[in-house]
Amino acid sequence: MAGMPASQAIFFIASVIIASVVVVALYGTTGSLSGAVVVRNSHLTDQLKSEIVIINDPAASSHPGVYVLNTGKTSLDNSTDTIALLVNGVYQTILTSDIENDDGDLQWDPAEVVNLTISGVNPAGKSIKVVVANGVSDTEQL
Amino acid sequence: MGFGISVATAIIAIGLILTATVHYERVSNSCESLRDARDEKHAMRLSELDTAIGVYSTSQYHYEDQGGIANTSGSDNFYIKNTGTTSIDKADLIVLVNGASDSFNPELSGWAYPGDGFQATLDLDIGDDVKIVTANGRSAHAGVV
Repeated sequence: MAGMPASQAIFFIASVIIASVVVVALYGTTGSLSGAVVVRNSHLTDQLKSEIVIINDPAASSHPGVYVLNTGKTSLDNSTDTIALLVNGVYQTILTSDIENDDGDLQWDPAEVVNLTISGVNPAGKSIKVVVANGVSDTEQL
Repeated sequence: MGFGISVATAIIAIGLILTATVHYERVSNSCESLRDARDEKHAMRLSELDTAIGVYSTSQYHYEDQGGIANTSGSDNFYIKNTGTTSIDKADLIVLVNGASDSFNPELSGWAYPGDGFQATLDLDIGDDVKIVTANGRSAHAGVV
């Protein structure tokens, strides 16, 4: 470096600085991209492991509520503000969402049924759609 | 000039290797979880296809006795048969009578292997509609006559 002309030294330093900037930019961009991939994969994994089925009996003339069976491999959130219930496409406010066959841990585990009660609407003969927090849904014509 | 470009290239190369090393593992683990979840979904579908039950009014499981429960005074006995190719946990069976959740009395327990039939008891009346649902959502209907 001692015998290097000033212009070459400037080129050298500029090259190193540009290379460093490129590496930092690449690292940041790749980090954001991989972070997004991980989040998306996690969401998809959660959706793949989740499944619900509306098990109401279409032959029944009245329904005390909408029975939703967790047929997936993971526990779901059964709080009323995380479940959406549509009757003939109209959003309904869920009054209660009790687990019918709870094993005692108060979590909506696989093979457990949640009874969603609504006010003023008899689901008989109507199209029911239930959507849980992660977007997994089921539709049934009663 | 040439030396500067060589050093810059080396810095970029080292940076790329570092970036790939740091991010590869977590993306790889994430993809592995996704593959496992896809396999589980596949297993769920297969289990659903393998599961089937029937409700019969007699323990002989005649075809003509399927889908009916003979009403008697007091408790009504009927029979459930595992007509699928996978075992069913009897304790996981869900009962709806006339659209409302009910429970067997006495409660059921143990496994029903493929082809196994077992007795269940409910308090029913003529005209009642019974729906039995397995843990994976498969079901059978019966009317009380």
